Amino acid sequence: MRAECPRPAVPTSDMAYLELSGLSKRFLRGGRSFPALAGVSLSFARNEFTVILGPSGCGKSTLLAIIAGITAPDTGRVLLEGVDITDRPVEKRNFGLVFQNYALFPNLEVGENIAYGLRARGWSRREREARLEEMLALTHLQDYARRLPQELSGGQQQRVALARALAPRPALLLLDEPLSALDAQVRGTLGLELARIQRETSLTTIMVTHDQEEALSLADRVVLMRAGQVEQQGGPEELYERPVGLFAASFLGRMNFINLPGEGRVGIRYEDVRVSPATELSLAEPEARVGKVLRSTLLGAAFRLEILLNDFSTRLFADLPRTERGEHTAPGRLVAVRFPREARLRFPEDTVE
Amino acid sequence: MKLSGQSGGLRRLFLCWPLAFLLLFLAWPLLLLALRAFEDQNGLFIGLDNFREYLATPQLLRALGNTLGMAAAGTLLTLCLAFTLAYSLTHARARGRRLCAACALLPLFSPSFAPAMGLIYLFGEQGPLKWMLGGHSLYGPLGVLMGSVIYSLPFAFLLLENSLAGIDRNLYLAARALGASRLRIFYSVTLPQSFYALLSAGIAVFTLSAADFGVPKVLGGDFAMLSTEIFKQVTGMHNFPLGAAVSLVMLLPAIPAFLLNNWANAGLRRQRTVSRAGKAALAPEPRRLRDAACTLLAWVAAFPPLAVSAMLVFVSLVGFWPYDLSLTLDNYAFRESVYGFAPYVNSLCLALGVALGGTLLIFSGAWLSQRFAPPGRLLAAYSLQALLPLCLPGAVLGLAYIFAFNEAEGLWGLVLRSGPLLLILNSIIHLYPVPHLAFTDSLNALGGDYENVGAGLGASRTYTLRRVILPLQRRALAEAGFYLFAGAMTTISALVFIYTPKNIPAQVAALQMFDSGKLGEAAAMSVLILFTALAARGLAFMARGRN
Repeated sequence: MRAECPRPAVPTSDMAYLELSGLSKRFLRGGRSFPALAGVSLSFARNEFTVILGPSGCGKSTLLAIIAGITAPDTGRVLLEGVDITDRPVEKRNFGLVFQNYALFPNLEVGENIAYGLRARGWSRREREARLEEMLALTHLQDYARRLPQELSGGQQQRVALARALAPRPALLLLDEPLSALDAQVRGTLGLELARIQRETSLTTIMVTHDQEEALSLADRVVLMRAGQVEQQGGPEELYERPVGLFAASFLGRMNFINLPGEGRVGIRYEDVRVSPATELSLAEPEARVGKVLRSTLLGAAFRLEILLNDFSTRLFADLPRTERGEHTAPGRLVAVRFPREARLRFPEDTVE
Repeated sequence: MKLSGQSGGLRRLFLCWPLAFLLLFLAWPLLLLALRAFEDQNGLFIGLDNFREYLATPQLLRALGNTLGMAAAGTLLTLCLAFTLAYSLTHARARGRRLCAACALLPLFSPSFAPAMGLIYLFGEQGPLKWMLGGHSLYGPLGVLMGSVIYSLPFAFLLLENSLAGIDRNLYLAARALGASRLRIFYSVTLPQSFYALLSAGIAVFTLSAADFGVPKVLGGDFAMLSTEIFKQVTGMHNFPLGAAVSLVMLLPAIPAFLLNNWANAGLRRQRTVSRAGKAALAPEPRRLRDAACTLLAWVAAFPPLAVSAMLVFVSLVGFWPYDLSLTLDNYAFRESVYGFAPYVNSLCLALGVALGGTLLIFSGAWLSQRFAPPGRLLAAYSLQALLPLCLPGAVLGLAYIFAFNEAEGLWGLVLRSGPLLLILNSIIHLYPVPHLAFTDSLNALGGDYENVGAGLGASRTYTLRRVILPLQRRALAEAGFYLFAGAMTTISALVFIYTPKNIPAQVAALQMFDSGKLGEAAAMSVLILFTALAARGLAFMARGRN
C-alpha cells in the first residue's frame, strides 16, 4: 500500500532543499554561558533521510529545535528551498514534529490526534476523513482510531505520533529521539517501519539520535556531531569505514588501538581482527602475531575474544561469528592474529584524546 | 512484608494506633454529633423534630440558601481570578512573577477574617474607598463575597499553578507545529490538562467559603450564613440539638464533594504519572503584547490580597483609625483587652504543638499505611478518615468536640481542657488531610525497595526509616510542619466552639477585639499572626534544605 503524497511541483535540482548556514547558539546555565552550537553549516537534499548522531550534550537537539523553529539561533540562517525561514515561528513552518515522549493529546482519541492538524489547514470534512483513513492504514492503526493514547503500547503511541505529524503533508519531518523510549525489540521493528514510511512518502526527514546502530541502519546520510560542531558527515558506510578521527572511529562501532612496528598507532575494528588456530601454517603468514585467549564472551550472533598479544602488553578484542567458536578459541589457547592492511585506520596524532 | 522480631498481635496493635487516634478524635465526636441531632435538649430521642424545627425557621433556611449561593458565586469568581493569575505566571513572561505570587499567597498566612477586616478599613463606613461600592453596603452579600474570594484565592492559585506549570511543553509545540490557533490550543491542551486541578480547586474553594466562619462573622451583618447561625444557636441560645441538626445539613453537600474530590485527585495523580517521562518544562518565549496583558491581569488578581494586608498593617500602626493617624506601637501592647498579650503566647504554644504533634502523627500514619501493607480494610478505614476533614466544616468539628469532650470528667477532662491539648487535637484533625496526602505521595514516590534492600542488608525497618526514609522526606516533613503551624495560627471556625478564657488563641481574641470595637488592637493581633506565619514559612524554607 502506497500513501498518496504528491511530490512538490518544484523539480529536484542541485539546490539543497534545506540549508543551514553558520548556526550558533549559546545557553545560560547557572549564570555562565556555554556554547550548544558553534557554527554549524549543513545542507539537506530533497527526499533524503538524514540522521544527526552524537553523544548527549553535543548540540544535536538544539540543532533540531532551531530547524523546527522552537529555538532561535544566535547567529546563522535557515533556508528552505532558498527562502529564509530563520524568523518564521514553528506554527508557520509546516514541519511535522515527533517527540521522544510523543506528546500525544491525552484527552483526544487516536483518530482525533491524527486529524488534529488538518482542521487548522482548512481541509473539508471529507478530505480530513480520507486523509485519516490513509494515515491509519499507513501506520497499521486502523483498529485503534477510537482508543485513547494511554490505552496503547509505546510502539503504537509512537506510530500515532508519526501519523499525526505526517497527516498535514509537512514540508519536512523532524524526529527527536523517536525510538529511545521503546524496548530494544520494538525499537528494531519500528525503526524499519519508520524507514519504510519515509520511503513511501518520500518525505525529507531529519532524525536526531544518540544510538549509532539506529543511525547506521536507517539513514541515507549520517551527520556526526561533537561539542556543538559537525565532526563528519556522509553515508553510513563511509562514516563506518572511513572515520576522519578518533572520535568518529570510536563512536561508531568498536575499535582497538594498537601500536604496530613501523606504523605507529592504528585503529582496527573488533570484527576486522582475523583469528585462526595457531598452526605453523597460519603463523607463517606475513604479519601474523601470536596471542593468548584470555576470555571468550557470547554476544548472541557473534562472540568476543579478549586476546593478549605475545608482547605481553597489548590487549585487544576480536568479534567472530558464533559459528567459528571452537576448541582453539577457548581461554588459555594460543591463536594466530592478523590485522588486514585494508582494515587499518590511521589518525593524525592531534586528535588523540 | 514482615516486621521482624515482633509477634503478630503486637504488630497489628502497632499498625492500628493512627487509626485509633482518628477513631477517638474524629469518628467518635462525629457520631455523638449525629446522635444529638435526633435528641431534644434533655437528651430524649425525638426523631426528626429538630430537622422539622430547622425547616420551620426561616432564618436558618435563608442561611442555607445564602451559604450555598455565596459559596457558588465565590467559587466561580475565585476560580476565574486564580486561573488568570496562574496562567499569566506560568504561560507568559509576566513581570515580577515571584512578587506577584507572594502577594496572592498572603491570605494563607492570616485568619480568614483578616482580609475581611482589611476590606472594612478600605470600603467600610469610614473607609477611604467607600465611594467605589456605589452606595452598596459592604456588610452583607457583597462584603462576604469579596472577603471569601480574597481569602480563598491562594488555595485555588496553588493548585492551579502547580498543574499549569506542569503541562508538557511538547504538547504545546506539537499543537503549534500542526498549525492550531491560540484559541484551539487553549481549549484542546490547556483546559483539558488543567481540568482535574480546576475541579479540585473548585471543591476546595466551595468548601472553604461555605464553611468559613471569619468572613461572615465580620462582614455578614444581617445576612444569615450557616456557620454563624450554628454559632448563634449554640452559644447564644444553647440549643445544642438544633445546632447538631444544622451541622448534619451542612455535611450533606460535603459527601458528594468528598467523593468528587477523591476522583479529581486520582485524575491529577494519573496525569502526573502519564506525562512524567520525557516531559519538557514550559518556557514561554517573550511576546510583548501578551506579556504586557498578562502582567496587568496578574497584578489585578494579586493586588486585592496585598491591599487588604497592607491596610491591616497600617491600621495596626496608627493611634485610632481613622481619627488619629499618628504612628504608634501602642496597639501592640494590648492594654484594652482583658487578655493582654496572652492570646498570642497561647497561639504560639498551640501552633507549635500542632506542628510537632501533627507532623509526627500524620507521618507515622502515612509511613505505617504505605510501607507495611496493612490489611485492605484497615487501610481503607484509615484513608477514609484521614481525608474526611477535607470536606468537614470547622463549625461541625467544633460542635462535635463540645459533645464529645466538654463533659469529660476526672483527670481525662482536666488534662484535655485545662491546657491547649483539646485545641491541639482538634486542629490536628481539622488539618489532617493535606499533610496526609503530601506524605502519601512523597512516600510513594520513594519506590518500595528501600526497606527490602535494608532488610537484605540485615537492617531493621526502623533503622532504614531513620537513615534513609526520614532524610529523603526532609522536604515533605518541613512543608507539613509549616502547613500545620500556619493552619493552627489561622483557622478559627472550629476553635470558637471549644476555647476557654485560659487558652484563648490569638485569632479568636482578635475577632473579639474587633467585635468590641478595638480595631487597632484587632489589627495588631492579626498582623502578629501574619508575621509569625511568614516567619514560620522562612524557617520551613531553611529546614527543608537543598532539594
